[in-house]
Amino acid sequence: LALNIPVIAVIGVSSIVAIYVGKIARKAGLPSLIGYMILGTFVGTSVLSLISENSLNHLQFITDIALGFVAFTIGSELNLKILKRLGKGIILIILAESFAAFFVVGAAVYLLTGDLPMALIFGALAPASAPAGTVAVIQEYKTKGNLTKALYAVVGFDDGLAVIIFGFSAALAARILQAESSSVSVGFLSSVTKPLLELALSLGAGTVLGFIFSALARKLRPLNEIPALIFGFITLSIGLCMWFNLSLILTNMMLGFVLANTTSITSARSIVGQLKDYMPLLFILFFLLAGAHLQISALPALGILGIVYMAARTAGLMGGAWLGAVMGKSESKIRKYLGFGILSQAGVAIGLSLIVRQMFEEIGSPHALAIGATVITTVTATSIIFEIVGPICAKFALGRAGEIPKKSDSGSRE
Amino acid sequence: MNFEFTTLFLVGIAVSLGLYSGKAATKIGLPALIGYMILGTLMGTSALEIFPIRTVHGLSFITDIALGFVAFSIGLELSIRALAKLGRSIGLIIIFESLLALLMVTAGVYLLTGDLPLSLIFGSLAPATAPAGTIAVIQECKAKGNLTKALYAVAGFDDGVAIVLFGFAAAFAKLLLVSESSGSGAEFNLLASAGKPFMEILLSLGAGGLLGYVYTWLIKRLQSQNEIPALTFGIIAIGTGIAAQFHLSLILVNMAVGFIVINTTSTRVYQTITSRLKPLMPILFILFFFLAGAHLDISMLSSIGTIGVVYILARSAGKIAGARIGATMGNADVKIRKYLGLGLLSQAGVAIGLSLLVFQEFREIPGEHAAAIAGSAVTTIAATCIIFELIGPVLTKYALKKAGEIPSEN
Repeated sequence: LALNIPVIAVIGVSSIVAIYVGKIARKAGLPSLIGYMILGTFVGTSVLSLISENSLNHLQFITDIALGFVAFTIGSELNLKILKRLGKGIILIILAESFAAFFVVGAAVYLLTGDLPMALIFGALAPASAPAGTVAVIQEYKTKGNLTKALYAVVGFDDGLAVIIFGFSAALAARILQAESSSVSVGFLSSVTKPLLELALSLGAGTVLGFIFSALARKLRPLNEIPALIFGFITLSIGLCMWFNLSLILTNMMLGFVLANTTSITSARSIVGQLKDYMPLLFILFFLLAGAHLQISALPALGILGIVYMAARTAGLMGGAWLGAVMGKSESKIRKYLGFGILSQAGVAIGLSLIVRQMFEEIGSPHALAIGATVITTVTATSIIFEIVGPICAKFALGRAGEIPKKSDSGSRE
Repeated sequence: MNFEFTTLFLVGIAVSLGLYSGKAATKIGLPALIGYMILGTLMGTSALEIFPIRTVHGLSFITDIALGFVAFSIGLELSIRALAKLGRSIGLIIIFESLLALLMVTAGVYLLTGDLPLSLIFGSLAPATAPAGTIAVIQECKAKGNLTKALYAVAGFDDGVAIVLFGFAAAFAKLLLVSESSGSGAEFNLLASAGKPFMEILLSLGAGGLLGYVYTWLIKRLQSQNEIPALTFGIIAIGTGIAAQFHLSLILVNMAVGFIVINTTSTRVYQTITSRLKPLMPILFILFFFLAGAHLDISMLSSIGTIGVVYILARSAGKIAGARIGATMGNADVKIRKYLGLGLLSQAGVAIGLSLLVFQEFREIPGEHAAAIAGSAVTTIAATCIIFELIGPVLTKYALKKAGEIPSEN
């Protein structure tokens, strides 16, 4: 199609159509965001090409801002009192699901290919999760209960662990490849300390900004200016994260976390509550663009490797979550269903695989280059599946756990 | 260094600091938007250069949407029922304040320079007002009353009249210049260039009206109010896109949408829509005026010269006197007669946009005269807009206060 429709009009039409596609998805028992994503795929580069790759890159800021709001929301739900009530179970779950995903995927890929650096890399990518899908489902169905709270905590904090696991094992894989080709070595130590530093800086920057933000937000009147303040601080921290390569999710989560824990519950509620009108629009834009980014043509590249990766990652996350919940003596619905809620994987994983490719291009040996290329095509393909299956499983889990209120299916009254 | 990070970081700084510079401005009795603009000017290209012009251009997506929302909210205030109450005086006021601004500026500049095409161009730029400033002051002060309603109506509708008058006067000036440089055979051009702005206005109103009907049709059938922001954003984005594609007026298109909404739905629907817009408007206002401020080039202030001074005085006199004559002829309230003109002095986006049109079109005309006029129009309008944007909102607030339409809690 050679029609040159302005992107802004395409986005406008899509966000209106999305409202209705979302309703159709709900009628089919699926979360609305699946509808938005499918619509986005049609509009995007794979099918109609109404939005060019170039304009998609220009609109990246919308995705980033939406993700910042998602992370902020997660943080604001994490009141320390609530976390304490959930107990050490949460910490054990985060540790177990992340490490289990790493080990199961690593082992499976090694058994399949016998290639150790490759196995390390796929293992390193496995813990990374995409919180937006889970949070969108929670907000759409207005779920309430301990599983909901546990999900907020897990999808938020496991990003930090994922960064560390990735940093360590990617450095290890690079080390092995360098020894093979005896090329110039990149310092091992620096590539291990870097992720730790990144994590500390993300948490630190988020905390400092969080204190300033909370002090301002508590005093700000009229209340309808609160969204402007939140928007300002979220975009500011996103900009900071891009500048210093910090984690957008962790930094913005801390922003909300500090607010929730330094402010009375009622006033924190009323501050965050100012956003609720606009979260649906943000989710529509976020998943429309996510869908538009999906490259259906990448699906055939899935191959056996991709299928093994998906199966092993799913098994690792679910098994790990179960194990952690058992060890921490969490209640039975968390033990049974939490693993279903954390399967989404999207932008963060693709971003990490881009870093792998860049790192391995610097090493330059044929083996390294081959791994770099395989990782990026495989993860692009598996993300399509995880991005669709993840939220559906999250909805299934919350439904089974009885945390979806009966009324919310009509959703009209307030 | 990549471009993306700078932009978001700076946008964040702009919005958070903007919020408080607006509060500082309110403290000393100025409208908040002056605070946003001064911050923008300070951080923008002309002072600290923290906010490079490249970044400003990269944000046109946001500024366009923001302007669309502002225009939409103007349209939402143009209720025919309320307008009917104000009577035909509004129509008379719009015609007289626009015409008188055009005539006085043309006469003033002609007396100064003796250059007819130049005077016509400045005259044609005079009627345009910047409704965003006026609306922001009204919303900020929560003003209520007949003067407030009249300001909404006049500031909203006179954009259309301003574009019509600009179209005719600019076409006439162009004709003079072309015949000056080539001799004759320009009758055909006169028709063509007079028809174009008319088409532009009609198409803008038509497209916006159509979108407005689609919007109301959809909004009456929405099952959940949570979907209102998405629907509103969608319609405004479409309107903005259509305007960009077919060179229509972004303001008129989105205003027409709001106009249809307010006049074809119940008050309850109107109230739900505006209550959903409330949390969004401060962000849009801050960004819009911050970026407008960042665009301004302070060094131009010195080059404003006598033409600029004459332009400012003649335009102000024309607006104030014209509004008074129109209001008197239409038997409007005494307070409308006295104070309305003071609320109409802001001038920004539309006038700068129109002056850029002159710049582009006149550069293609052979001869140095046209080129000189084009350059002079752009710099002078940019410089005078700074002044009008600084004094316009202040005077609007003064007028509203004098008319007793600002609740005392403020």
